[in-house]
Amino acid sequence: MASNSTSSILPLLTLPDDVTHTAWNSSSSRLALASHSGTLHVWAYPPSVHSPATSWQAHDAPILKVVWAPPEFGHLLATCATDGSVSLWEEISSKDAGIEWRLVCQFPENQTPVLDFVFGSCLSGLKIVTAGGDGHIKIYETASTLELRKWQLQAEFPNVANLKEGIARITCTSASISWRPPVDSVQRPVFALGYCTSSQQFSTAKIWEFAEAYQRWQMIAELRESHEKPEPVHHMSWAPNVGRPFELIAVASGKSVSIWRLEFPLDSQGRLVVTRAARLIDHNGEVSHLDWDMTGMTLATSGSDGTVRLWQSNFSGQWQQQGIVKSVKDSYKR
Amino acid sequence: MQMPSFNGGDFVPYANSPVSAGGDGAPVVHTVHHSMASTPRVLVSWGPGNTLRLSYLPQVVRDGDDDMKISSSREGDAANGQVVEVKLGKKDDQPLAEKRALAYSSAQAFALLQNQKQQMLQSDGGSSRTGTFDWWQAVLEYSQIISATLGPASGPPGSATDFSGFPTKELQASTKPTTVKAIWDLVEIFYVDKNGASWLPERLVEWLASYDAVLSSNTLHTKLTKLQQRLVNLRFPEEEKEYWDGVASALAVGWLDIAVYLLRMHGSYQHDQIDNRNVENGLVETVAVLISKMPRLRPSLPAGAPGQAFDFKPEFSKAWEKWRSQVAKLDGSTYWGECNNITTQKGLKKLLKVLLGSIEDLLLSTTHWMELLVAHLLHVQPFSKVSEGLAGYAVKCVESKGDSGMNESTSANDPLQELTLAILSDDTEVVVAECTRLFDPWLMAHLMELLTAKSKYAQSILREERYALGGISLEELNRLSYAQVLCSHQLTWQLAPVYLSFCPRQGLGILETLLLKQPVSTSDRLALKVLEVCRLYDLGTVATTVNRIVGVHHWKHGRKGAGIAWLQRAQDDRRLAAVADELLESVSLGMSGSQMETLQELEGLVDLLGSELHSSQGLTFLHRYKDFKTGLQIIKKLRKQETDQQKIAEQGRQAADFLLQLLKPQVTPQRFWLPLLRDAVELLEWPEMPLLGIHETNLLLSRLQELSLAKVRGDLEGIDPRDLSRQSLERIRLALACNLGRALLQE
Repeated sequence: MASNSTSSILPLLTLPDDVTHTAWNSSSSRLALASHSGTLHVWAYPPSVHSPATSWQAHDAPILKVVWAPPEFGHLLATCATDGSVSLWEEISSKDAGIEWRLVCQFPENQTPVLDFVFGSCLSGLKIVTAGGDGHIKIYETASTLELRKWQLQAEFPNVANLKEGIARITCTSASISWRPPVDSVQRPVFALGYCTSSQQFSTAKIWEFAEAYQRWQMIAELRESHEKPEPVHHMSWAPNVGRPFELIAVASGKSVSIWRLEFPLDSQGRLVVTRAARLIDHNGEVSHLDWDMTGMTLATSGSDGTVRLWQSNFSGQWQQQGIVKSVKDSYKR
Repeated sequence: MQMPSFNGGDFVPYANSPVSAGGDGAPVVHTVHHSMASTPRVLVSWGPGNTLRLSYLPQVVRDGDDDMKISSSREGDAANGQVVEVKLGKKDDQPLAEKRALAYSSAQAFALLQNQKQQMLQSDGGSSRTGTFDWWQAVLEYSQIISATLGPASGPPGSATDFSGFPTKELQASTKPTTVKAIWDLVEIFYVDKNGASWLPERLVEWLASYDAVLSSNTLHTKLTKLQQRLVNLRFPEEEKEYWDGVASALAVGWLDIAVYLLRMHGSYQHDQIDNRNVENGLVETVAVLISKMPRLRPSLPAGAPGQAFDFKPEFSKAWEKWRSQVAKLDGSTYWGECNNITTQKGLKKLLKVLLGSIEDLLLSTTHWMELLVAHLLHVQPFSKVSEGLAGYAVKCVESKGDSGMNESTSANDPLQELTLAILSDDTEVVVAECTRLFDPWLMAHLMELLTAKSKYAQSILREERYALGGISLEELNRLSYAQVLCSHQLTWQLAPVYLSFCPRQGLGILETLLLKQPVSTSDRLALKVLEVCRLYDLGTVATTVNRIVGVHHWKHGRKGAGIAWLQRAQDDRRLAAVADELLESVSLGMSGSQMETLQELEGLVDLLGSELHSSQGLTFLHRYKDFKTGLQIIKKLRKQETDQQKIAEQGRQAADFLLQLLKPQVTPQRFWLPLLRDAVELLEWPEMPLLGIHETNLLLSRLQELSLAKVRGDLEGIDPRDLSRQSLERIRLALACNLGRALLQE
């Protein structure tokens, strides 16, 4: 029996009963909660008078996801709902109204919902990458730095080239996008994206890069070994890199998690050298979420079995489980 | 050479606790309780350092028509999710305040040592024997400082340091040394202190005296502590077997003071006994005296402690031979026959056997293998140079003790066995692996200095850069892991830079991440602290970002002046320009209403912006615009006061100059031309004389013309076409025409 510890667990917050998604900001001091009823909650930890807990009706439909923008754009949130609407919200305060969250802008409504979206703060300006339920990636961009009201669609492309099956026949249930973390404080226009779809071709996780020379987004790698069948992607996360000679991306598909090693720069054919560094198969249920720590050395994964597992590489490059956070249902009713 | 035996693999910070004897790979388990109907969905997010923030949410169920539902709400079950923070790492009972104190004092010592190292490398170009020679002494100083912060020195029960209270005083829990300190000191003996090498057995005796208690639950320390309590109530302790066992044990491991003290508790010393037990007492006293004269190969002994110290080996061996012969002589003496007390006779004989190095008696008088080893070094091979043979002896001792009946699993009973053995046998790989397995990252981060103090081999394995670890060495890895632990708490994150700055590969990168993750917008004090760290470590880019984050936060929260000041520090021209535009917009909108107020408010802000005039188009304009508007205000005031005409004319001319500068190409954004031209009407209709010449009026006219053309083309960016109504344009045009006419006439 492994050692069991409960003293290290600190309850922070009991959630409203219809929360669908939560997101911490980059300094882990604010938590945004998206809910089924369309209400958005923002909560501060540790609680402070300067940032009171607040909530407002953000959408008419259930909110799917909420994400924070990089902190140099203020306290800025983006939300997407099941009806396809995407909104940006920011916290401001004035002498008269005090602190309040206001709608910065709404993106044109899509026919299909946005499954995942992320901010990327590139040199050319703030970007939002969205992965639509129709399998299309859209990249919006703004040149402004303070107002952020005007966005333009910079690019739109499907997550697969030379599609054999008809695109209309594909259903996408979820998607995951992860930017390559900044290198030397500069955010390069490179991100990884994976879908969970009915089409194998669509499902493979891919790396996209904006090629300055051609002024368009190009796929520079697929995260799979040549002999393998593509697997649906539930979540993926690009590890922070503070001096490693290679990049690491963790991809959750089904019950397993793969850690891929990428070696920049691109080879002569404009492709990345990609190798699988590990395949972690200890979860009993589908792996739904994962996140790297600040050093990019420890990966936390969570499965539908309610268990969180922690992984690290040892000296010989083997990835091993180092910790488990189990969840246990209380027998008594509170 | 042995291959690194890191197959256990754990390194940072979640290595198993020693309690999990089941298997080396068993991970630490934390348990979170919830009240949801079904298994929750868990979202993971890392908090500061090595804390994990987990959101437990009810499962989402998708209906056929792609509608999502929260599972529990459908079942009508109360199922609130929750958010928890999990502090990862080993469970330990050490109070937080104590940990923090240790963190602060050890960081200081660490930084000092690193600076010494850098100075040394600079002064002799990195290579040299003198460097290494001096170096271990620097490390020794560092080691002693850290050891002192790990707790006070302590000895065996009733030893010289703890003598006064014997036998009533019980050992207090607080004085019990920690395992960490024990390991630290043992590593110091073997890896750092070169001077100690010549009297290594004696150093081990000392070490054992201090740390016997932590070796396992069953040692001589526990045995003697129990005896202490029993002796209080005994008049004739010599009748008890435990008494004689106790003296023999103390003697075996070299705790001479205890042995002598116990012997003098012998019943024959009591006044009413002395007559009948004369010979017996004589024998006891002779043994006690022999013990107090035992020669020891060590530089000195504490004042008043039994034994004689010899620093010089030949002298020692001479004295030892002589002393040994005295012991042997006593052993063969005829007095034994005259001693009536058989227990005393047997007990004393046993003591002599211990002194004569009888393996069998040493084995019986010790419980832990380390004690047996020390007894062996002290009584069997006091001359041995040790270093080579030590590991072999140690293994033999482990084996003999293993055979003598400890059937329970050794790792449970003696968690430190593998580690202590590895330290004795200079097996650095195992030392590293075991320390990481047993202790929290603090120890490894600091112990690295000891391990690499003089051992070339340790230096090579700990400083070798490993590809699988992302190109960092073990030394760096351990510093990084400890720094990460420091990052977890807001009271200790400021210590992390000390360690990160000595991580050549990834330290600065992680430091940048750490600084950028501080919630700087929550308090200016925190922001200033972060900036101070940036300055110390030359992290200009991070400082810029921090200034920008704070600037934007202030600006968005209505503190415009502070916002501008911070953005200026960030030298963020793009945002400053945006700020200038916003300011200007608020001004031109406010024109119709409370003009004065807005202007006054603006004045301060524009002054603030003014210091960086050259950096931004928008700001240049705004600054001049402020001058222009102030000029107009003054003219109004002067006219009300009906001051000297000439003065008013001067002001008018100045305002006109400001206006002309504003309307030069590239100065003012097009959308502000119209308000400027509207304001110009007052100057154009100057009652006394035409203020603007022909050429100047033409410039104004051409700007108006450009505006009209833009309206026709339909590219009026940022201007409401209604503002360009016929009426307002006519008004300006008329004023311009009048002025042109007057100017022509004047010229």
